[in-house]
Amino acid sequence: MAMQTQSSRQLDDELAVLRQLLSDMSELVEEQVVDAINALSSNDLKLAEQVRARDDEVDRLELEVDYQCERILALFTPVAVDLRLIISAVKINTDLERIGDHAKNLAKHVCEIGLSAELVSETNMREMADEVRWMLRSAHEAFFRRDQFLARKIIAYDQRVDRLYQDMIAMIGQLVRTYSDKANEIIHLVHIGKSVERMADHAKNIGKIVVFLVEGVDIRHRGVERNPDRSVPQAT
Amino acid sequence: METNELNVSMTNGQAVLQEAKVLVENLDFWYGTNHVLKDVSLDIRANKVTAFIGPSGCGKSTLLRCLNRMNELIPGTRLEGRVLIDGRDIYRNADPVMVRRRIGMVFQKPNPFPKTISENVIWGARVNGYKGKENDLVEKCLRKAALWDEVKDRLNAQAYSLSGGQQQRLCIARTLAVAPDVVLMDEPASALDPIATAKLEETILQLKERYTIIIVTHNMQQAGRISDRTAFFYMGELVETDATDQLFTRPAQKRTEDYITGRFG
Repeated sequence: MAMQTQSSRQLDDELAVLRQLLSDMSELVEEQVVDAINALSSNDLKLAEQVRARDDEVDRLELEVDYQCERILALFTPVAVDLRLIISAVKINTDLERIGDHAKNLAKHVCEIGLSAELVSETNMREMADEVRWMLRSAHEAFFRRDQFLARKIIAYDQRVDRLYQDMIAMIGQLVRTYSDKANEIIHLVHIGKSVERMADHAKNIGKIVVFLVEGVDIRHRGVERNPDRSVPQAT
Repeated sequence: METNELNVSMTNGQAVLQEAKVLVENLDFWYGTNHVLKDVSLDIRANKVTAFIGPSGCGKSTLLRCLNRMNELIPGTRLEGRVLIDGRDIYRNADPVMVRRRIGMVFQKPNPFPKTISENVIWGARVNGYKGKENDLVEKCLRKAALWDEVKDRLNAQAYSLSGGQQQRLCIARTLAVAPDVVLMDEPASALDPIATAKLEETILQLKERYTIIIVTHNMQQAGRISDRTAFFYMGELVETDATDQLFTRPAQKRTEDYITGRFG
């Protein structure tokens, strides 16, 4: 049974607040993605407007998560696994906010152009979106369960989304020929497809951060070594 | 993990760390029947700051005092194992007074003599037969201890007229006056305010260019700020020693992580 000091109990309480904020952020962003895709699939302008309006809530949570991290660093100077948790939270927060931005942009396209559901259904957008939803849900679970194996699965999964995106570009080429009168809508579809693909990239980033959190190994840039000479002399 | 940073030569199949200023080998220490250090082995590198950390009673201060034979002044103690300074065993064929001259000590609370600032610095050197110019030595040591600018106009004032932080740096100057190689510090900043602590830490970082410094501290941020290497002790055992940045970011041992994150096992 672990014995804790008062300060470590306080730190644990603060970390619990941070986890809760990050969980709220993650769930809200997932909801934004799901709603944005549904708005797209059914050309639901009202739902798209809701997604746009709720982006302020995502931004508010981003600020709260960052401030909580700043507080913990200033008040508790955490080290080792606690420090990695703070670093991870800051990075994941940024990735989640970017995913939220992509969901908002997607909704904006829907609002601006009013994409026909028929056109969307002739692409693999729904399939791509389903994969991204799985990656996001899994990223959430991997972080909160500290599951590096699931995290590595998410990282590998990104290739599937990349392939689907390539397929979608080919499909859009076909659509341009078939629906030459809808060129404007089709251009918006390309942007939307890119947004969905970028969401997957951010989910992959979260997977890499979870590996760093759990294993203490930075796997972001394979084959690139950190320059050890950058440290100041007394810290080497 | 770090042996590649050192010159390691093989002697009868055993690796010998050539650059270890202080080498502790299989050290056991008892206060009566209380076994307070258990098979401790570690190397302390020259011109580095090494921090000893661990909970109260873990043996870190005892080890510090073993390094200049101060523990043997306490009746009923027993030591096994070896402590080598520059390859020479300080417990065999060595004069303890000479050992303590080469390995100075700065204590938790500033303890200047009830004398003037100048006399505090020169006293130990004079007792040890110093024949040079005393004023020069006083200035040199006070400069090394980063105190000269603050006291140069009142060298004949009583040491007790100084602030706590200044008294502690005076004690460092006094230690340096007998020309040690190694300076041991037992929680030297624990009685100081943050500004005095910052000055003391700056002094320590300057001193390591010429001296090997070993510091016991309960302040882990302090260990992080000033030490090159950190050794973590728990219940008389050396649990882990590593580069300080490594130990505070990715400790190899669960017990180290529990301690530095405030969660004792």
